[in-house]
Amino acid sequence: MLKINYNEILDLFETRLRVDDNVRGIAIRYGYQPYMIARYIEMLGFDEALRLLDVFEKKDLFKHSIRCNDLRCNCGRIIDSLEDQGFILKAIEWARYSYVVLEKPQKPSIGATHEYLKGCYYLYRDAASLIPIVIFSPSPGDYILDSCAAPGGKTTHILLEMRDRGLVIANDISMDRLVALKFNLIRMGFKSYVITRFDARKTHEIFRDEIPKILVDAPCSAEGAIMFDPERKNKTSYSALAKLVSREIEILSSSIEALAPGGLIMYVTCSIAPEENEFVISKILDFYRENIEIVSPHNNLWSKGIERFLGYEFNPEVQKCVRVWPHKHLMEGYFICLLRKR
Amino acid sequence: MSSKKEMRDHIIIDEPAEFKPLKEYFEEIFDMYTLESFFRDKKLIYLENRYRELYVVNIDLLEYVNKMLISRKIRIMSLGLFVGFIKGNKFIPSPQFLEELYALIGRFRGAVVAKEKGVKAFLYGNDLLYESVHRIYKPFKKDYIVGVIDRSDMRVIGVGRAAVDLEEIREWINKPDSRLRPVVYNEFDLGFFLREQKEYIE
Repeated sequence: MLKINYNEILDLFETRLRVDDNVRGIAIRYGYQPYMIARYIEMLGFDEALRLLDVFEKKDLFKHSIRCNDLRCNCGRIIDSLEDQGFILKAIEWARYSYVVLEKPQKPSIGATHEYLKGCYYLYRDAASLIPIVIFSPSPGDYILDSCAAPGGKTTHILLEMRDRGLVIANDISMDRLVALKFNLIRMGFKSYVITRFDARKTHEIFRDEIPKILVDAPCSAEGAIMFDPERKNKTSYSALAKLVSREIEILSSSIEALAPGGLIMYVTCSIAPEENEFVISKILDFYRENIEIVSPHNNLWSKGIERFLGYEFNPEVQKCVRVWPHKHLMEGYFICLLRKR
Repeated sequence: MSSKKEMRDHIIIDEPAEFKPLKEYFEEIFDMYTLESFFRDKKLIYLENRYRELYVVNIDLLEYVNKMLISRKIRIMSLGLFVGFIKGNKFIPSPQFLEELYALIGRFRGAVVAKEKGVKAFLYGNDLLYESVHRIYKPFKKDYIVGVIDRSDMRVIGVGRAAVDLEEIREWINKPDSRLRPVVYNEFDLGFFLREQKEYIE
């Protein structure tokens, strides 16, 4: 079981940050903590970092998306009905039965239509949330642990891909969010699930080398979702980020211990922070060595993982992970990495 | 309730046909044959969360859940198809369960088909009024728990308690002052999920 103290993470990166007057000026202009700006420039270069910051200011560029519940509803009729109500939808080429909501009427909201209440679709903040399960490709009859499942966007997507056959253990620790998860699973009429509540860092204490597939949608800084929640610009200090990274490593490591040999584990964050992503994966690869490998996605339509950051060289295998950049892909920032236990 | 096994916060009901609230509901609206047909190879799970909830799971799935979770003292929050809940001593079926039952027997029973205005009002938690009733499927008696169906797609949008007997409603025909009388008191509707939960969009 791998655990890394957050001070170690903080020491590793914070000391390498270059926060000069230029960085401070941009931070003031866009309302960020300077450390965040310094990291964006380090990752992307100056011009591209500004493009990222500009895109984070334009929430309207990012559109809600839906995944139709083709198990219970006729998706063609649902789309027709939504369009009759004034919505304009565009099919997402890489995700079946999924649509971007390009335009919407004043009323109803896309999260309050009769079709929504009848469980005919799940509503996402934007299409990036659909990517992990498209890559994960669950099949009917699978047995999957979704260790940080609430509010259920990926759980419902998994169950739809599984045709509601098999079993999903949908787990979370937050009671409020578990209620949302439960309502979403009931609303959409699923049967092949069980909702549990335990700390994902303790997964290995419950299961040992026995779960064939695990999704770890780790609680993160949400640094890829600043366009939806501008308070994120000042919410997470570098020290708090390091604590999140420490927890992410613990959750992923615990989940790997629970994974069956030959099993697949998907690590996901809605953060663009390399500390929460490539660093976590590198540490896991170093710790488990020949027991864990990254699986190249069959369809990376987005970007690769980055190899170095602030002079720190990640394991070169992290290039096989997927990065979604808000300014490049016009979606919420995401990191997705598929791993196999040998 | 017979042969129940207590396991932390949930109870497995081995014989759903002997679970009184469920039995009474099926005797009123469907029949015991439908109950037994539906629950063949399935178990009823009683879970006491904020409400007294009922779920149904396949025996195979339950065995797996038992082996992987229950035997390891993992608390179950919910599982399988949400069948409904117990209010007082009455069983209130979920819309999802009613749809399964209607599909099983191939017709509607104990249900009211609502017009557009009534559907909207019911989904906001309001009662269904006579002016919004398109059709009634028997059995329909005062205090029976009945399904409410959207006329536009014949999907179940909620469940309510019959406010009157069918015979009384027949007397309302052509009486304009009857149009605002309640026919079904709202017990549960699909809008509940939207009203009750905090908004989490991911």
